[in-house]
Amino acid sequence: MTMVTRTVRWIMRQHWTFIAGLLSGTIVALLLITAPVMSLHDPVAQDLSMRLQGPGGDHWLGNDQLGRDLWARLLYGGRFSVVVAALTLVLSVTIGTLIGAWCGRVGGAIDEFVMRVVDVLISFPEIIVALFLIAIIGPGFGTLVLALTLVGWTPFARLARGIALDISARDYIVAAEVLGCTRTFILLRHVIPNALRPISAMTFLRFGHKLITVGALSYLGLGIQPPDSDWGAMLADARQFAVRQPLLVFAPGIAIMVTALSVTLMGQGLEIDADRSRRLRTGES
Amino acid sequence: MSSAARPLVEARNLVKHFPLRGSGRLAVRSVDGVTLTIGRAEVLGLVGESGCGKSTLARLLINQIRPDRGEVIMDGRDLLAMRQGELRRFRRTVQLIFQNPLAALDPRMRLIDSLMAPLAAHDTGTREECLEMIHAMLGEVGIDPGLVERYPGQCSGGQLQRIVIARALLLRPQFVVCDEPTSSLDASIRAQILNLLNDLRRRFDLSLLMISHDLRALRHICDRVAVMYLGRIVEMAPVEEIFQSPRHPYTRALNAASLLDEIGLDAAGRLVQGEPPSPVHPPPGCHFHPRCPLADETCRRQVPALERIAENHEVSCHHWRTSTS
Amino acid sequence: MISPDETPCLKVENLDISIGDTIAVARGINLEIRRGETVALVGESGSGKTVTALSLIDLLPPPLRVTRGTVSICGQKITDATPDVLNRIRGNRVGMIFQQPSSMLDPSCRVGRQVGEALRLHKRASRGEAFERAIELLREVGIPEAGRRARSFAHQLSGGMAQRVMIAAALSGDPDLLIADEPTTALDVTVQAQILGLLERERKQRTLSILLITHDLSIVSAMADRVVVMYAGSIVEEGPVAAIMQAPQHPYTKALIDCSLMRKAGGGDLESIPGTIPSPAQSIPGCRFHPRCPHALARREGSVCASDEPTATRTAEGHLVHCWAAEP
Repeated sequence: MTMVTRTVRWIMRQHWTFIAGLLSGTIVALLLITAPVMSLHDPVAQDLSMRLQGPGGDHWLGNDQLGRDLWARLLYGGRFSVVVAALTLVLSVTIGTLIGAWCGRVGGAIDEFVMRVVDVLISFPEIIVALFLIAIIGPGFGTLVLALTLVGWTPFARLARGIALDISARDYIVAAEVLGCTRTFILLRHVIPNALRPISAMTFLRFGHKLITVGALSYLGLGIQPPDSDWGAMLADARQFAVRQPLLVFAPGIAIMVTALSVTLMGQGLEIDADRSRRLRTGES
Repeated sequence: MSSAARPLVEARNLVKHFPLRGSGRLAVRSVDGVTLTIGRAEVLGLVGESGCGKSTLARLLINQIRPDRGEVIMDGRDLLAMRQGELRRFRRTVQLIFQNPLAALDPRMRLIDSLMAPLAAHDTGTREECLEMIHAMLGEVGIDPGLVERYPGQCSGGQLQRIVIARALLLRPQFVVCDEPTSSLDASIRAQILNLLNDLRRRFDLSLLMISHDLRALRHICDRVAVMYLGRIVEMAPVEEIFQSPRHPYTRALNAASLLDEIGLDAAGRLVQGEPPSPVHPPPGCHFHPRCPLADETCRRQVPALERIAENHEVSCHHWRTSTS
Repeated sequence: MISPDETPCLKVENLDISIGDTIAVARGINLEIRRGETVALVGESGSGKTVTALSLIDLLPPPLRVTRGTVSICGQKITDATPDVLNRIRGNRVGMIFQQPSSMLDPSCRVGRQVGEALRLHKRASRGEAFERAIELLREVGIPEAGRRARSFAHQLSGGMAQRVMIAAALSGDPDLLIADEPTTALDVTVQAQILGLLERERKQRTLSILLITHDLSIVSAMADRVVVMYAGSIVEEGPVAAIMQAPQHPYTKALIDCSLMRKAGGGDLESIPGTIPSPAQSIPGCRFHPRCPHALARREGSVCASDEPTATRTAEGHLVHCWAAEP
């Protein structure tokens, strides 16, 4: 109970961007989770008599070029896009933070080597790496996640390393060393918890970027394979019919935008909060 | 086994230079040949201005950083020859108390967790036994046990410094370095902490190294005082001699600076000129000569040796006889 | 001689400063500084001495604000003054120096230009004139090779030099009042006497009034003519320096002097004050010091100290004590 009230109070104290992002993000998440209940139709059921129909009746957003219900496709398609983006992010953050924080603590040749690897990886656009992997392994869910994680961990490693270096110079780390705490303990109990706030802010900010990359890959036909679909693939399919039924393009486009924006807003709110608490701690005004 | 007469800490010819990045051979000559001893249950004061190397010296003594040259013998054992496992056990016997207690505690950990961590790191009994030890120690430092459920940001500086002291003493160290333990505290709290340290060192038979830039803070608690200037010790003597009959002109200047109310601005201003030079380019000869009212040609060319002028009183000045007046 | 009816250089009446509307950080501050006089405002952290100083030239950072009272400098009211008037007073009438000199100087600007800035703004000097005058000022505050130093940047200066530059900048507008907020706290002890000596010399030469804000009582007796002691947002005692230092009347002043000068109590311990300094958010009825006060009156059950705020008692000429136990 106290946990809940404390969380609520914490949320109320945040910047308005965080609250706005949280609200719209929650709505999107709820819609995607309850897709089977929220959509009256099967997303893959074709009804050619309803081809390119506008909104009306129980087809709230109308039908696509094969007469499938657009609203249902939007909800089910979003599941794929969001899950891929979220999963790659979680993997990237975990791997990146651990490697980065560890490098920052040990320093020396290992640190130097890993950071050069990061430099090389970071200079490849994600899409190029993904295209390369898809060419080798073939398209699919696993390939997409692997490809996006392969490059995705690097910015987190860089950030975590910077924070670890900064934290290492603090007195409480010196204290822990003098008190005889082990390196693993210092890394897990002191360095990473203190790095979490800026890292989580960056995670949120990167989410939108991931979502768009997933969309772009699917748009190129390298993501999910038919008959399943996601927002990127829906955009690609709708391309030829954009003039006759603009909603087919707008709906997935707006869905990507709203989802990316709401998570980014949350991230921005978190960043403002992190900055505020850092200033409070260090006593700047 | 070491003999009882042997001092607890012996440092010989410690040297630590920090190279400046991207400047070739230039280095900050932080500690430049320091030899000193600290006896069992003795309190040695170390006084000097910022940048004189006193904190570096302290960290060399507790093996937090390694010297370029020289050796540190603790309880008869060579600190620098210790291996990893041995070193971690050694950590228990040597502790550090910081200038700013707020910075010395993890802001994201409750105080009780900060107190628990070192005990857990050294496998000191069960959680219940540890809690019992912590509560006993909180009593020693005068902290209400209820306070430790809080986070550092919710306590005052004086309370936090008591917690930091408790955390250091939980491991039952023999030697504690206090790096300006009171300079971030207000006057009324500073006196409480100094009294506490004085009390604890008697009860726990501690050897202390008390670092300060304020001689007055050292008078109450120290047995001996070492005065440091630009990486070297310039005078070392029992505390009352430092106050009553300082021989080095720099000691006299520090003395006057901490007793401004008794000595007055003009007199204090006359004892020393200018500002401490950079430890990257220390002046030749006696480091203090550009600021010294007694300096002459010898001082500019020749480094004065640390000379024993009386029992327990060492000074490094060409003119120590003149400066007595 | 200073005549008593001469307009004081600084006059503060019944000043209250709060965070927002609720938390009072300074209350009922009365302060007067005459021409050529040095007044030390003494207190520990949380005493409100720095916010009081900032309020004098309307520099309180929000959400801090003045909720009551007036501040006048050389007879001119600061509270409610327009931004134009304020700007003319800052720099022209009042100079200010701070604890961290190096962080108060713009790192990207040569120090000579910064010192000359006030001249360009207030005295409408040309760039060249301002620079020449800045070099003169730097020489006056004891900077060797002032001409060369004027062309250097803030990070190339030592702490003591940077504070001298700050003093030169504060003096450039030829002010009547200099507010010095812990001017030597961040400096090395051996440099402290030099900087204080410089302030003292400038005071004599320019008949400057100085408000010296400090927590260090050993510099107070070396510098000040009068002392004002603050505790937890209120003035507890004020008077001539000799009276305060030798015969303090308020139990807090007494204890603070003993603590600061590290005098010993019985049993070999240093004098100390039990307890901690209250935060401004803590509401303490009566005298703010009574929970820590050693005086018998404050220790008595149901004492007036715990219920009513003490009024000022005049114990000698110019010596005011805010304590229920004080006798006139």
